[in-house]
Amino acid sequence: MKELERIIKQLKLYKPEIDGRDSLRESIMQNIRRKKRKINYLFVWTEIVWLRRSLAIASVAIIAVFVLQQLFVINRIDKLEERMVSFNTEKILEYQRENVILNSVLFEEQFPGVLTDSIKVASEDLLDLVRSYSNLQNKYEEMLGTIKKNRSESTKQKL
Amino acid sequence: MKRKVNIVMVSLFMMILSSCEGPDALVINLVQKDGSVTRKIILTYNKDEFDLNNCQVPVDSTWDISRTYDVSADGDTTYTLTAIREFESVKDINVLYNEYEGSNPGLKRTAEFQRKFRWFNTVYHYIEHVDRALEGIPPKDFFTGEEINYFYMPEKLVNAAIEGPDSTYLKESVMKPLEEKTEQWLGRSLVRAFVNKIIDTVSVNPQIKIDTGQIYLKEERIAASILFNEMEEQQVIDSLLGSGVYSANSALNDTLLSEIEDEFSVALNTDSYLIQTIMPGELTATNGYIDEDGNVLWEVKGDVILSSDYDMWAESKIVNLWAWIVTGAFLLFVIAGLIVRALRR
Repeated sequence: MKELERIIKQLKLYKPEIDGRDSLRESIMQNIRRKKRKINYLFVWTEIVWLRRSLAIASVAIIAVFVLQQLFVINRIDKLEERMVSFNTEKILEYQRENVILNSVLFEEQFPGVLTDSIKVASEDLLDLVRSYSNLQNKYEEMLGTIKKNRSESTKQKL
Repeated sequence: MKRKVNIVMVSLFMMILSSCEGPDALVINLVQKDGSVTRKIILTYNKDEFDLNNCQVPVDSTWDISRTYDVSADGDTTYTLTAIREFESVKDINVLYNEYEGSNPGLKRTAEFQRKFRWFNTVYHYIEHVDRALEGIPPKDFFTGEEINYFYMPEKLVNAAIEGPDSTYLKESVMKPLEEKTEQWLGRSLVRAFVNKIIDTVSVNPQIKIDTGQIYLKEERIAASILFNEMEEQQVIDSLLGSGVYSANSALNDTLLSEIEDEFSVALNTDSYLIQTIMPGELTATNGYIDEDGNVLWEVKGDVILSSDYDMWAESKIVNLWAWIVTGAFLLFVIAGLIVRALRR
């Protein structure tokens, strides 16, 4: 840009005589006309009525299809929320491991228990019982941990 | 019918037991855009003894197999076998399903993959299908929406839900009534299956003189009756079809009842397993349960395949960026043309 400004300044200063002023003007005008013609070629379809209308209708149809498709997808994705559960693959495998351990206890004890004892417990209830016991134990351990933590904090405060 | 009624009474207990004896199985399908599927089967057991010929789903020693073990805080050891195989298409999975002779030999299973070009998006559809065991009452015609949700829900998720908030409501108001209703549904499904068999047999054998005109109305009355559990098979059949029909067609009755018994045993002996599917792109719809990682989960168990086909389907989409660009350019071109024309005027 600076270079261009410098050239313009120089030209203004020395005012050089241009040979073929008319031909230069003509060539500049031709270039401008060619650019305009290019734009005309690009949009020549706008002068053909049926083509103009067809393309306009096609554009509206495409926009409508796009909007409908997006609304449909959004609606389906919204419905997915009902199917969401707070679980993951690791938890599934953890459950499987827990189940396997519980089942091994159940199946090892199942038949002698049934034969020697008149009290029968459904396997589902027994699983519930073992799970409840395990939960209680975890909570008890958590409680113990909290009590220990509180004690150590209060000791620190006293100190 | 007495023997069938007894089957109903023990069925729930049996279904629980049947799923407990062998290793627990989790099948993971990683579906790719081109329709190929990477299938991973994770078996968990209390012994390092995995019989691949007796697995819930087809798997063999040619798969890429690895083994690990885990020792819990209480010192219990569990063993895990992971088998992985790439399938070029679902056709290869279906070949394995057809050749399968494992612990679920009665299950008729197929997998299906569809890819639909929808200009702005490409939609992918994956289905794992299991045929129903008998022509009973479809669960959706018997249970309410909330009940259906818990009916199909994998047992592990139900247990997790019960341990979570609203556990008392869930146990007392949903799960207990659902268990009772499931027992009724099993009994009624068996009666319906028998009725359907009678109607089919009579329609193709005009020489059998049995009036089936009011049979569905009678079926309702019998199923609703508190005497249903106490009825002998002769009583049930005579109540359905008219007195004396049982003795007059004892051979036919025996054949039909045996067929139902065989069909029922397919559901009864189903060795349950979990299926997890990971779809390409963004998940848009499914009838499964979506976990925290966006994977879809189902459980194949006896009661879900008893009287209706079980389609475990998931749908996802991938945006076609090139289509958005082409469409955008086209719209710009048309709008620009119309503006230029308006300006020229």
